[in-house]
Amino acid sequence: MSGWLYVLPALGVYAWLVIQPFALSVQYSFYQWNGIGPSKWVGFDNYIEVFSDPNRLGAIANAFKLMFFYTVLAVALALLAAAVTRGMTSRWGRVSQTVLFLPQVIPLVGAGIAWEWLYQPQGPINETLRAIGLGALAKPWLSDFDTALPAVGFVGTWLLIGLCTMLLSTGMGKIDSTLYDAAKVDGAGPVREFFAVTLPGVRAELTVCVTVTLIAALASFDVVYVMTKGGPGVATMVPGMDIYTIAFAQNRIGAASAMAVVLMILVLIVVIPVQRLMAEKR
Amino acid sequence: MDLHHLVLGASCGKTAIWRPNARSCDAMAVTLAYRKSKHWHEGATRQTPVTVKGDAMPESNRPLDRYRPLGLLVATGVVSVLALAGCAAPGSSAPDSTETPSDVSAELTSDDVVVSMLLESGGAPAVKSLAAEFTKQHPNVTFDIKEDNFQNLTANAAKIIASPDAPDLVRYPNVAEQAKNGTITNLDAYAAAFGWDDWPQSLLGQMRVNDDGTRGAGSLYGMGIGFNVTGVYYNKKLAEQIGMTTPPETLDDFVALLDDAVAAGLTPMSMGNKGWNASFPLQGIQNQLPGVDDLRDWIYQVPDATYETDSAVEAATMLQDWNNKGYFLPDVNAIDYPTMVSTFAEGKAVFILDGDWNNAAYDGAGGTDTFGFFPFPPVTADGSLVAMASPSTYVLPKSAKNAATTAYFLNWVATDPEAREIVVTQAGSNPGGPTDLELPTIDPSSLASLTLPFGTEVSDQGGAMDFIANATAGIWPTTIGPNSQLLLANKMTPDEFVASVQKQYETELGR
Repeated sequence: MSGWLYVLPALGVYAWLVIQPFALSVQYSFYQWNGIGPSKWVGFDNYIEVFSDPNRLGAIANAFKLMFFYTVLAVALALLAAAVTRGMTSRWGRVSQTVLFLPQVIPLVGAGIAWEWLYQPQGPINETLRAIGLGALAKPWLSDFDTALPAVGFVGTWLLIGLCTMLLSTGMGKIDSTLYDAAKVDGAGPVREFFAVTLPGVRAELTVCVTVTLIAALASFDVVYVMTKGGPGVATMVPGMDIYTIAFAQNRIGAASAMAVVLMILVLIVVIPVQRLMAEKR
Repeated sequence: MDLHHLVLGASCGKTAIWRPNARSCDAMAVTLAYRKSKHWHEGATRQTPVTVKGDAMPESNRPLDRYRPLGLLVATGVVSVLALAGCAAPGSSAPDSTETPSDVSAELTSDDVVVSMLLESGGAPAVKSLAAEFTKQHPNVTFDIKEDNFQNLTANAAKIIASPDAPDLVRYPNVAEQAKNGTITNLDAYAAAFGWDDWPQSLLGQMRVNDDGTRGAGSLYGMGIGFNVTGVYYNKKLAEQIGMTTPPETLDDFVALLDDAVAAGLTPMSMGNKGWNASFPLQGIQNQLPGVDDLRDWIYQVPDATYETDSAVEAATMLQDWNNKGYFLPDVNAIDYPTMVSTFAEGKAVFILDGDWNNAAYDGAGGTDTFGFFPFPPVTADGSLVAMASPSTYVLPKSAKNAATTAYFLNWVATDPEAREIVVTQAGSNPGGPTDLELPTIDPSSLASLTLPFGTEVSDQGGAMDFIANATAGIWPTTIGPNSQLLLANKMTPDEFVASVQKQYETELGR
């Protein structure tokens, strides 16, 4: 019983700052309400809208597409970067890790503005393409319906590589070096060494990377808000941006709350199996 | 980022604006009660090991699933239900929106008063000059001014206006919404005291709201500090190049000029749609077509008003056609508003459909020596002038402590010669006010010398139309904007576009 007393202050703060707003979200999701005036109980209408309005479903689909860039690409490249830089004994290993980590310390909004400039029709990326004779590939990346989402997704990859590289190289640093010696004695090359020793050794860190990046993909907002506002059309609309627009442009707090609750459940549905699958067997 | 905080940010039952409504809450409790009975026990026992059981495993190696997210979710859900049981339906009860202040006079108080204002950054410098001039004339009144950019302002203003210590004056475009919420002051008494009812009503009507929430008539809930008017600016040198000697008198003449510009290898119209500015030419066209009163009704949220009209489809068809014919900038959906303005100012396009708020930019690039201005032409030469023209609206929150002084200030802005001069020279917009007042003298090299008389003409003729973007708070960012990008990319037909706008309009208004 005294254990609960120790927990009480933290639990109180948690209940007040996390559980109460969440409970209110759930409550609002059953109302038609503009945030100020009278509200009307509408039952599950807001949830029906989430699953029947093509715009809501499109936003959710885009979040899943972003997983490729935020999770698959970012974690794969981070594994590669961590494995390569781990072997570097000179200061260059440290330098390249710092460079990779740099996007993490830049405010997302600043990164979004910089990337928007890079992607512009007359921006550096297109100018470079034209300069090297690939002008045919130049295009308005963020306003082309086919390239907008990958362009936004790539910024996510760029942002998250650093975090994952840092986590993974920390994990690799903890691997007992005698394991590598043993692998060498057994005649393992670098590739075999990577799959037999390094990868199993960073399993816990990999789980964290995948979890964090999956959540980042599903809950992405900042970069989309700064770079495209969900456009062109709704080609880069993601649930976070959608919720913001419903809540603050349309003043439909109930519909926004329903979408937010659905998004939270989606995150759990995606993340829980990952935890189960990747956790160490005991 | 925690989306729940984003969406909510306030707690139940804490402030004056959230009043209890127990009936709906009971319904909620009943609906969710089964979850409580079913999952409470399971959730509690699943939680227990996390809290009490420790082991020797190093923290970093502990798999995350030991925290049992599912159990946590169920527990959280249970707590939520418990919280809901003690929480009433959100929002206020229906407001009494007809009340208007009773003790109103047209005299300024002699007490020391500090008027607080929340402004939009773009318009703030002019209003600050107005405030300084007012203090100069009336030293007992000073101002406390805060500002924010338009997007932040519109996102937050509703909550700020509803708060018990709101500023006295807030720049806010969606008057009808707040009138329905009962959070802003009914200005009828001031209108009577100051004689505002005799001013051009096609402008004031935009800030009038009926009991049923329809705009256009009824009680006055906002005032403008100047009003803006839109039309076609042209580059004189390039216009000469395509053989334009006088401004086009009809829409067909204008289209012919746009074709001539294409043939001459020029960019006909500086128009980009990254910032959803296609709504300008879209409405510019539709304003000239038959059925303009239906469009105004739709903007004013008249019951059963619809956007699904022949003129809307025709306008959307022409807009799409204009882009396909190369009248607009290439990569149209990649060009934002500042870029389209600077493209025209730099002399890289023949025409731009824009508003007088950008007069300063064009004056800086050569003024009337370089640029001219004409109204968006009607279908027939004798057709009446219709143009997008709207006041930059300001509202007085109901909790405003200095409403009388603020109303006096708004009247002074439209009638005092010094103030009108500031509105014209600094805001670039028409000072509005009574029709019998002289317009301030304007430097003939400034484009204001062309747009101001036009603005007066349009408002006197009753041809001032609010922007379709203002029809509801969310119609532009959610539908007109994104779907006009699809329309210009030929990924949506004009019929689909028009239907989608009407559908979203109904969703947002709960019709």
